[in-house]
Amino acid sequence: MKTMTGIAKINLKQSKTAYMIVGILFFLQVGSEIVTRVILRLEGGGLALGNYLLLLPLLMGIFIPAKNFSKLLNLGCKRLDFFRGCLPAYAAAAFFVTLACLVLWLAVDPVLLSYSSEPSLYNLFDVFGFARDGVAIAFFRMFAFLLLVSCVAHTLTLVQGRWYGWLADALIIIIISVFTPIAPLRAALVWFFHTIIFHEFAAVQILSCLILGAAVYCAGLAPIKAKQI
Amino acid sequence: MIEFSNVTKNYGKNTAMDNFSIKIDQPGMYCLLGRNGAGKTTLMKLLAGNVAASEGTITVNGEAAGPLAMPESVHFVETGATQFNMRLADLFKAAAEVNLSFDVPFAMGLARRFQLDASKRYKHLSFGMKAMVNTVIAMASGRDILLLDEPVLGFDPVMRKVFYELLSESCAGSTKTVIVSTHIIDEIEKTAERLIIIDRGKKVLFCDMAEIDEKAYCVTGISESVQAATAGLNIISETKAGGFMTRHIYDQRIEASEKYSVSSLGLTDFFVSLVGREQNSGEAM
Amino acid sequence: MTKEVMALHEEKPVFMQIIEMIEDDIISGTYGADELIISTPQISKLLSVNPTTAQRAIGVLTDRGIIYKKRGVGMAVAPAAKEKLLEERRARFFEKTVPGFVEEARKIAITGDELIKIIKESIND
Repeated sequence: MKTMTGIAKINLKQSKTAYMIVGILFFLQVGSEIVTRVILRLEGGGLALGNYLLLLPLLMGIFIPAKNFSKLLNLGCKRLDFFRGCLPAYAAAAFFVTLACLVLWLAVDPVLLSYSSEPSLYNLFDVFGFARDGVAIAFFRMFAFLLLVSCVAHTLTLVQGRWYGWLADALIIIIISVFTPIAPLRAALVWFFHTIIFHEFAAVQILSCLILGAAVYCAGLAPIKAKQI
Repeated sequence: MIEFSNVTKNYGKNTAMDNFSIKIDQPGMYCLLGRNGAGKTTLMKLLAGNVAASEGTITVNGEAAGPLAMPESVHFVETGATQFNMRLADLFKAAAEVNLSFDVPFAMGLARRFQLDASKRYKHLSFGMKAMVNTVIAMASGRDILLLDEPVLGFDPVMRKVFYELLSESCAGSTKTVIVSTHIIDEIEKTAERLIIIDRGKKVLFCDMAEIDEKAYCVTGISESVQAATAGLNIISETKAGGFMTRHIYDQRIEASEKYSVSSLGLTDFFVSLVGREQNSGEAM
Repeated sequence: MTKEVMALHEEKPVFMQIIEMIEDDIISGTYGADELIISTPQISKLLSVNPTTAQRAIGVLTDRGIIYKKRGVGMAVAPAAKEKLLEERRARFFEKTVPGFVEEARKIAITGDELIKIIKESIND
């Protein structure tokens, strides 16, 4: 248990690349918002500030298994502890990102919008319909979704370079390219994304994200077992 | 206590470990010798639970070892191991986060003795210094079985000497089992207590280092008399030139005579004779 | 240990050379009865040999009763060690050294009388 939190702590500390990418994108966006909206008073739609932060769980899901794995093992961490020590890091990242997005969405976006005559900021809380049942529910819906994103990125990164990794990559491409043009299959795809993102019942969306996330994360145990240090 | 029972490890079509068995039940420093590709690294990785055996079982203190059951008492240091790019002092603290038995003050003390600057970041260290850091992390890990894969690669002779002195010093009186693989025999010959020689994934020799001094020797002289004197002994290699012959023996010592001389065989020569058979066979046998 | 004996020779196993060095020191009186002898780590450091080799030498000497373990301090010379070693060395001298010496003299055609003369001269030198 103690090593698990220790590893999670190191994982959070050593995700500098992810922080940097997200930080740069975020501040570029802040700069451009200030220039276009506040100074030049240009009208038009744009992505809300918080959206860039949402990249963080995705990037951490890629960088932690890709960059931290062997270094943690060289410090004396065991494979099973690594498996246990990633999820808490993703959960913490998802928690803080959701919190930050919520703050930006509720406090900063309205300020930016006040410079425009018509509301034209696309925030994922609105786009996904998370705002429907209030702020608290919106928080949990976003949190669950981000956790799922981390888990999927984590496992997909781990399987790269193994035969089942290529298979997983091929399957994802096939599903997206083949399913989209064929109506019944497209319907299945739509149903899937509807369930994990847009579902009208928050509980269904949250639970399906958490269950799917847990399943995908656990599938990562097989590549962790086989991964070279 | 470490035990390999009939362990085979295949990488695709290559066999890195071939029905390998060994039982290590005494603490101390072990020297693991073998040519490139003999299976030294594989042996260590199997023991650390970094790879799974294709066949056979590996147990550490009675518990089976494998990737999802990496033995708690083993710390493995690979060649050129990478570490987080932190200041050494922070790196040791990080090690203590992931391994509860890690001893930070001890690591700091060792770093001082190795003349490592704890305020330097890992990436700013030289190759040799990095290897030192990895060894310090192993020695401070609080674990009983340390596996060091080519720890002195890239060291100058002075660093090698300091390294082995510190290693044997920190092993003396402890219950640690330290297995060191290397190609540079000079210092380890004088430090290690036991010797494991492997070749093509098989165990060739497992003995006390003192046995090499006692049993490995070289007989040179007139062919017939050398042949007669060494008949029935364990001949590991043979070289002929004119009517003379040199035989390398690993067996009971014989006395020198007028017709042949007997001299000791250093570990390097012994090792080359033992595992270099293929190359010699053309001329010698 | 005098300088010339400290250099290790190739012919004999190192542990036997260490044994001989210690024996010589006991015979010469460098180490008296019940006195502590050089320790294993000291031997391995001084001669730059493997500690197990030094240990082996000490082990053989202990088994032969030349030295014994003094609890908590180290290895000491057995009271009768010097006598025992002298006896052994004398036996070896008569069994090996003398016949070899005589044999060699015969081979290079030195007569018995000449040999005795030579021995007498070298003793008087």
